[in-house]
Amino acid sequence: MSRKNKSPRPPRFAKWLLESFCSYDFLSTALWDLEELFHHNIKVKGLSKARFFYTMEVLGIIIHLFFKGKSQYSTNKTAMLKHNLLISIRSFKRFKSTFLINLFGLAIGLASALLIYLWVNDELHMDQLGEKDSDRHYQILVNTAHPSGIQTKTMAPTPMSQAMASELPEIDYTIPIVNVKFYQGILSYKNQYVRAQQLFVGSRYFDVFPCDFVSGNKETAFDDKNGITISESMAISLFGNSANAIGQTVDFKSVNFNGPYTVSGVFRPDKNISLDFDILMSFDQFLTARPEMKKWYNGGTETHLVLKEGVDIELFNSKIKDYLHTKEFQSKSQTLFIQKYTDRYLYGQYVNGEPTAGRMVNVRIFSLIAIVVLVIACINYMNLSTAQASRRIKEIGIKKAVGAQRRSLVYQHFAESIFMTSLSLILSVGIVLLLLPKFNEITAKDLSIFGASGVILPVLGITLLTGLVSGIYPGIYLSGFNTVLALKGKLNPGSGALSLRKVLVVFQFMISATLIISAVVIHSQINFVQQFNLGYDTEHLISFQKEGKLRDSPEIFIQEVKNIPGVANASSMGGNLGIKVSSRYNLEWKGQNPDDKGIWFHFVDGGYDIAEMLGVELKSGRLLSTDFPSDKKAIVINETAAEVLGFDNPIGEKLYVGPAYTIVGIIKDFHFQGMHEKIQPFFFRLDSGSRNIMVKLSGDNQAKTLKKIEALHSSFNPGYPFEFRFIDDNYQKLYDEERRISSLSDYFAMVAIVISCLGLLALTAFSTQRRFKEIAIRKVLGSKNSGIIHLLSKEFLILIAIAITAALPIGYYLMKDWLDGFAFRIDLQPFYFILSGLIMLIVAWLTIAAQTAKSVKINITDSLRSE
Amino acid sequence: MKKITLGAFEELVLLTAGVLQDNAYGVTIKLELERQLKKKISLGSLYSALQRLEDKGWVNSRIGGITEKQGGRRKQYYDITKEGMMALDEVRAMRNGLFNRLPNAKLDLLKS
Repeated sequence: MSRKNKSPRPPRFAKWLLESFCSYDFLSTALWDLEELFHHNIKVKGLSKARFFYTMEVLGIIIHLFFKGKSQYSTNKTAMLKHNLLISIRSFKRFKSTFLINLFGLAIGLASALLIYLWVNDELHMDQLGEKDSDRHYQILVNTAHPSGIQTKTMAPTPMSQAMASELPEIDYTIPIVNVKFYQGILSYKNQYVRAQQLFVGSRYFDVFPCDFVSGNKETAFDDKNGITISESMAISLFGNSANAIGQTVDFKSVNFNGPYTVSGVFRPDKNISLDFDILMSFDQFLTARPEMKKWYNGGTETHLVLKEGVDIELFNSKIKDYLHTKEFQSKSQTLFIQKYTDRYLYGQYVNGEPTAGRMVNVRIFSLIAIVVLVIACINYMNLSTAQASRRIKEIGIKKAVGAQRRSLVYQHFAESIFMTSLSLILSVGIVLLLLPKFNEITAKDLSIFGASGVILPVLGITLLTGLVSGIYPGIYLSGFNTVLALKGKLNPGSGALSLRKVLVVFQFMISATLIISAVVIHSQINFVQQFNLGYDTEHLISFQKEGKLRDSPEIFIQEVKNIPGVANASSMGGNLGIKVSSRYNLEWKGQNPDDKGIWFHFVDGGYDIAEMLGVELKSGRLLSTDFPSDKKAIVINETAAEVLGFDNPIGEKLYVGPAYTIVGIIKDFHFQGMHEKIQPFFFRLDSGSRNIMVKLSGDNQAKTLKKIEALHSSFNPGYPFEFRFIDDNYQKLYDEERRISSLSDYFAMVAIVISCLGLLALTAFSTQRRFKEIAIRKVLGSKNSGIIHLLSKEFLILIAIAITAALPIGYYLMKDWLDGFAFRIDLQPFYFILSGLIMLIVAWLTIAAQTAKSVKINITDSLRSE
Repeated sequence: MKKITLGAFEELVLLTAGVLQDNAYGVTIKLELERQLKKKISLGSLYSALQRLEDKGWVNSRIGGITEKQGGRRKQYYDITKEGMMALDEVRAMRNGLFNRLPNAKLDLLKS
C-alpha cells in the first residue's frame, strides 16, 4: 500500500463527531478548512501529527459551538444536549446528597472494575510470547499413574529432547530447558559477587521466547558453549553498567558448573514471562558438565517443541503417548502429552492428567466480581433516579405536553447517566492512582494505568456501557408517564417501579452477602492451611547452601555451628523443604508390580539428625542413628510409601534406590509439600554430600544467634554471602497466590457492601422523607421513637433478610467449587454462613437506623405545617 | 444604544482578513495569524470570532471554490466591509491618539 495511490484520510471518528454537531451549512465550510489544513499539516508535520491536530481542531470547534457559537451553526442535537446537561446539572445541585451518593458509588465501582481490568489484562498477557515460532510452541508433560491418581510433571528424561527431534518428523525443532530452581550459583567479577538463578536452554530458545537484548547478539549468544547471557541488573552489579559487559570473563560457582564464562549478551527481563532467571547458559554446557545426564534414567529437563506447520495435535498426542515405553529405564505407567505453551500459564493445573483452568479460575472469578460490583453501582443509580421520579415528574409532564417524543426523553436520561459516569470516571482514575501502589503490593505485579497499551479504549467502553446500563431503566420508566397525570404531579397508578426497586435492592444485597460468604470462607481456608499441622515442626528452622569450603568439609562447620549457644541442632540436608524436595522413580522392591516402577518417591538425604530436627513422628521401627554403622545403607520411609510397597511388615525389607537400602523405620505422614498436593511416598536416607545445611535455632534471641552463624560462615567462606531462609517462610510462599486472592476478595467484598449501603442509605433517606408527615402525626398521637424506627426499618430489613437467604445457597456452591482445588480443606460449616449473614444484617441495619433515627428527631410542628 | 466594540482578537482577525484580500478563508487566516502571533490558534475560536464579526456587519462571507475534488464542499471566504474598515480605522485612531499623548519620559524607556 503506497501513500501516493491512496491519499491519507482524516480520522473518521473526528469527522463523525463534527457531522453530528454542526448544521449542514457550517459543516461544509468547516470540513473544507479542516481538510486543507490536514493536508498542509501532513506536509509540515507528518501524518500521525496531522491526524492528531485534526481531532483537536474538531474538538475545539465543537466546544466553541457549544459555549459561544450561534445556534444556526449547530444542529438541534447540540442544543438539546446543552439543554439536557443544564437540566442535569440543576438537578444535581438541587439533590446534592443523591448526586454525591451516585457519584461515589459509580466511582468506587468503576475504580474496582478498572483495577481488576488491569490485573486481568496482565494475567491474560502472561506468557503470550509472540516470537517468530511461538504459535507452534508446545511443551511435553509427563503423566504418571499412581495408585492414588495421575500426577502430571513437566520434568522429563533429559535425552528426550534430542531423541524426539530426530525421531519424530512432525517436530521442527526442540528446546530443552533445565530450570535449577533449588540452587542458585554465585557469579563473580573481581570483587563483586552476586547470586544468580540459572537456566540452561537449547540453542533456539530465542526463536520462541522473547528476550530483549541490551547488548550482544541473540543469534550468536550460544555459539560458544562457554557463553553466558546475563540480565541487565546482574551486569550493573558486576560491571557498573551494561555497556561494557560483553566479552568479559566472569567466574561462576555452582555445584557442577564451576568455571570461567564469557559474557555474550545482556538482556532486559520481560515481565510477561513467568520463567524466572538471571542468567541463561547453553544446554550443551549443561551436558558437558554433567555427561551422566545423557542417560535415559536421568530426568529433570523440560522439553519444549516447535511443531511443523499444520500438524494435527490430537494425532500427535496419540502418537507420543507411549513414546517413553520404547526407551530404556522407563516405566509403563508414564505417558506423554503436549500442551500449547501459551496456555500453560492460565491452564496449568492438571486433574487426572488433563489440563484444567488453574489461574484462569481466578481470572474468571475476578472478572465476575468486577462486573458484579459495577452492576451494584448501576443499580444504585437506577434506584435513586426512579425514586426521584416524583421530584422531576412535572418536568417530564411539561416536556411531553409541548411535544417531546418519548425517544428524546430516553435520550435525555442516557445523556444524564453517561454524563454522571464520565464524572465518576474522572474520580475513579484518581482513586485508582491512589490505590495502585497498594494493589501492586497485594498482587505482586507492576501494573500502571498509563503504561499498559490498549487500556484507554476498553475503559471508555466500560464507562459508556455503565452509563447506558444505568440509564436504560430510568429512561424507559420515566418517559412512560401519562402526560396528564404527570402534569398533576401524580405517578401512574399501579406503577411497577416500587416493586422493581425492591427486587433490585434484594439483588444488590444478595451479591454483597455472597461476597461476604466467599471472603469468610476463603479466609478460614487460608488460616486452616497456614495453621494446619504439617506433621513436623517448621519453626526456628533455617537452611542455607553449602558453598566453597563448606562443600569440602561440612562436618567441621556443622560441628562448630552446633557449639554456638542458641543453636539447637544442625545437619546437612538435600533439597529444600517447602520449595523443592528431590524425587526419583525407577525404584525396585520384592514382589513389585512392574508398572509401579514409575512411581515417584520423594526423599530428603542428609545427616543423622534430620528426622529428629524436623520432629517427625515415628510409627514403628527406629530412625537412622550413628549407633548402627550399617545405617549408611538404611532408610526410613513414610506411611504412604509403606502402603505403596505393600509389605506386611516393611521393616527389614530391601528397597532398591539404585543400590539396596534396608528399611529400618516407618514415620507418620507429614506434609513435605504444600497442602494442594496429596502426600507422596517418601524416605529419609544418609548422604553427606547433600547441598544444604539446616540449622535449628532455639526460640530466643535468634538475631544474635544468626549473627554468630554468619560470622562463622564468613570465616569459613570469605566472599560468599550468607543467605538463609526460614523453612516456614518457604511454606508461606506456597500460599502466596491464595493469600493474594484472599485479601483481594476481602477488599472487593468490602467495596460491594459499601456501594450497596450507600444506595440503601439514599433510599431510606428518600422514603423516610416522604413519610415525614406520617411520622409527625404518629408522634402527635403518642408513638414512641423506637416504634417509629421499627416501622421505618422493617420494610428494608425484610428485603435484606430475603437477600441473605438467597445468597446462602449461591455462596455454598461457589465456595464448594473453590475448595475442591485443595487436597486438604475445611468443611463448609453453618457457622460461616451465620457469621456472614449477621455481618450483612448488622451493616444494613446500622445504615438504615442511622437514617431513620435522624427522621424521628424532626420538628413535628414544622413538618405538619409544611405543604 | 450600546456601542459595538471590537475585541482585540477580533481586530487581529479582521485585519488579517483585510490583508489577505480575496483569499481570506479559515485556513489562510489561521496560518497567517499563527505566523504573526507565533502561537497556535484553534479553528473553533477563529470561527466564533468570524461569526461575531459577521453579525456586526464588518465582514461579508461569500461562498466559493466548489470543485469536484472537494466533493461539493464549500469554501467560505470573508471580505472586509466598509463598516469593518471604519471600525479598524477608529480603533487605530484611538490608539494613535493615546500613543501620542505618552510623555517623553515613558518613550525614553524604549531607547534604554
